[in-house]
Amino acid sequence: MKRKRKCFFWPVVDTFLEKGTKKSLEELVGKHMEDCQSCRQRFDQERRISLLLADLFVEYREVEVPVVNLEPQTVRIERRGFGWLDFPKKPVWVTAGLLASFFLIYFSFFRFGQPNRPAAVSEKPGCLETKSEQPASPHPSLSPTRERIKVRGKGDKMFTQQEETGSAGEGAAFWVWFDRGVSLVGFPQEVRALSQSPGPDWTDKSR
Amino acid sequence: MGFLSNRDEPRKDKEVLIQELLAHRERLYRTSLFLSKGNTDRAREVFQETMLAACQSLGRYRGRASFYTYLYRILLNTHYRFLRQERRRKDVPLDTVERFLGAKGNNPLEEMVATERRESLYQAIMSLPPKSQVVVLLRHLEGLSYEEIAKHLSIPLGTVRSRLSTARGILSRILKKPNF
Repeated sequence: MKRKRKCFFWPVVDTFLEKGTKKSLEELVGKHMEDCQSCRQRFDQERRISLLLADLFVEYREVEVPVVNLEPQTVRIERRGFGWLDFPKKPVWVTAGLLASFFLIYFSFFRFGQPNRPAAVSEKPGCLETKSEQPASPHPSLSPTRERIKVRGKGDKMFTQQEETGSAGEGAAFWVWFDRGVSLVGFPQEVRALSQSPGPDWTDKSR
Repeated sequence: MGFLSNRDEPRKDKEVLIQELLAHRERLYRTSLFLSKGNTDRAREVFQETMLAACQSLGRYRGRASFYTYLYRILLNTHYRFLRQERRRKDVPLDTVERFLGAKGNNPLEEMVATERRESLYQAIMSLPPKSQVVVLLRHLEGLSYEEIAKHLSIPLGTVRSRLSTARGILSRILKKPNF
């Protein structure tokens, strides 16, 4: 589509439309538009749009504006939401915090390839057996624990725990997992020692 | 904790902003009436909601745009929210029915043609980009001069001219249809 060539008089027409009808300008524009078809078309078009818009908007000019009560008693002019969270770059900080907490949990509880166990003695191929270093306890449930660790492959080990004296079962497995997890966080040595104990024997009927 | 207090511009006092809001009250209501196609009840509801929303969010005004632009944007958002609700409920305001039936005019046919023309023009204005829309409304609905528009919207005079020219170009293209 070929673009229409602009007339040098267009800015004058624009000024005429902008400022309204001034006597001198009207004469000047009128005189020019007798000869210039482009300017006449443009002027007619603009005037038509202006008239249409004026016709459309005329009914909204004279309106009664309703009263709005904006007293502080009726309208609570406060910032909604959490004020302390309203600072720039909020999403960046929130995302960074979430990521940091995720990595902290991930590396503290799931440290693959670094078993926090003492040296193991092999009993049969593919299995390691360890003995905890706790002193003998008068109660049978607090006796030394024997753990059997299955070695599945290089760097990928699954820990299972069995007891000879008691049957702590899942509870003991949890404490192994918990001990490995909290060792990075830095629990005191006493707590760690406690965590390695199998706990009371709930299956003992004499209790 | 510098990042907590880092703002683009120093904020205006809330009392000053409320005074500005009240100064723009009439203008907002007229625009609301136009957006509601002359339905007074709806315009009042939209206007009321806009004023309340503007009051409640005064603290969030950062001063990047002029205050009127900020209010106009709130008004548009409120209007669109009302439109969505009406579409969901499939409401047709009684005023609109009266208009289409030509109850207010003498000649029903003329009234219908005029209503259709008005509706097309309304759709044409609503299809403009919001920046051009607000300039057109200030110019033709409020009757402000170019300088006043520039002052209201805090933009240069040349920008007002170019936005109006763009709007007129789009409108003339739309209005070249045979029924105009």
